[in-house]
Amino acid sequence: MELRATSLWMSGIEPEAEELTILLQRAITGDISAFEQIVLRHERRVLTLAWRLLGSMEDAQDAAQEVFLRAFRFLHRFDSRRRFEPWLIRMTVNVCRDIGRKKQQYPTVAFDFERLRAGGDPHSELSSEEQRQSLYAALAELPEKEKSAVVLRDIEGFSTAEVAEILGSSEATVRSQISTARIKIRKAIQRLKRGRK
Amino acid sequence: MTCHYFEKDIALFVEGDLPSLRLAEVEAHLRGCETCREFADELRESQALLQGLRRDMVSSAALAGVRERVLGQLRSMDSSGVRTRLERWIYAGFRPRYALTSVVLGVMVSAGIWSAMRPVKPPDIVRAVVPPPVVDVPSTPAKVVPARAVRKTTKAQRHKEVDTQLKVIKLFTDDPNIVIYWLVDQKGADE
Repeated sequence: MELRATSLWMSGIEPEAEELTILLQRAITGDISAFEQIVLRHERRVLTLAWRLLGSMEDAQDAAQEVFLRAFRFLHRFDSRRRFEPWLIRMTVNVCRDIGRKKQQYPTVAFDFERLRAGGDPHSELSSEEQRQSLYAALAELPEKEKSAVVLRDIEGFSTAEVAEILGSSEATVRSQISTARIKIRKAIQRLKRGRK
Repeated sequence: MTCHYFEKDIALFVEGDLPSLRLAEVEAHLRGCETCREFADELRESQALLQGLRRDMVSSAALAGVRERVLGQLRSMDSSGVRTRLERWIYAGFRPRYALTSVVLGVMVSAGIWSAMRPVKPPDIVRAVVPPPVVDVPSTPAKVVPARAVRKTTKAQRHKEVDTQLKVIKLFTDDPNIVIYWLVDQKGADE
């Protein structure tokens, strides 16, 4: 195991990344089975992000479909020296933005909970449906850019620099957006707590 | 400074997103301000709840639905999408650096063709023309002659005299506006 780790470190390329590079090269030539492998690797992240941004599973599925079709079509434009996932995530954010604007429901969408499978500890604070609904409602009320930034940073777990790269803005702008969004979400949670008392 | 001033910084501080330049100031403020400490605690709580949403996952059925739609559409494009394949063939591997190289090569080829097609200009011809006398320059130092002593000559005689004394060489240059006149005497000395 240690030997393998050392050889990988020395090679400088992770095997998964190398495998993805090969799949991408095959997909660029029109190999659909290679592209299917790429879809399988990234579909969960793309669909979940689209759902978090759009709030409706139907719209999220439409968005994810559009993302993968666009990815296949424009794969030849992808710079192979860069990471693939941020490129795909950026495309997802853009497609969700387009769909949200078309349907004009981006800021006031009601989240579709039926299609969700909540994981984790059922006794944790988050298992409270009320809290989750309150959080999703607070997210839905955020302006588009603040929502994208806070979802990518705090839920998807990207770093501030990665979020800036995905959204095509500066780190300072992203920091400003996420701090404003966090304050609004805190306010929503405090409102909920006061309502309980 | 009011606590409101620190709110946005505290929202970054609780997740370690605050730039190091502001860190010391915010920490110092938090040590001395109970209201802001409470604000930071509330933020930590809401952030923990928000990050708990990471556990919410979309169902496998929803994922399979997307995959099926994507692959179905790609396969139908593959069988009939001549245009798509043509586009991919045209743009395959097209990168800005290739575009730049193409532009540079194009400019070089165009410049080569242009220089080859350009009409060759004949070498400058110097023509010596003897015009009618344009300048009446005496070949010898002027003498003060009494008015009565001036010999009267005809126009033809004067022409002949100048002709024998001076030659005017007219030099044409590339620029039609510039013509050089060169005056020489019979001995070839410049005037």
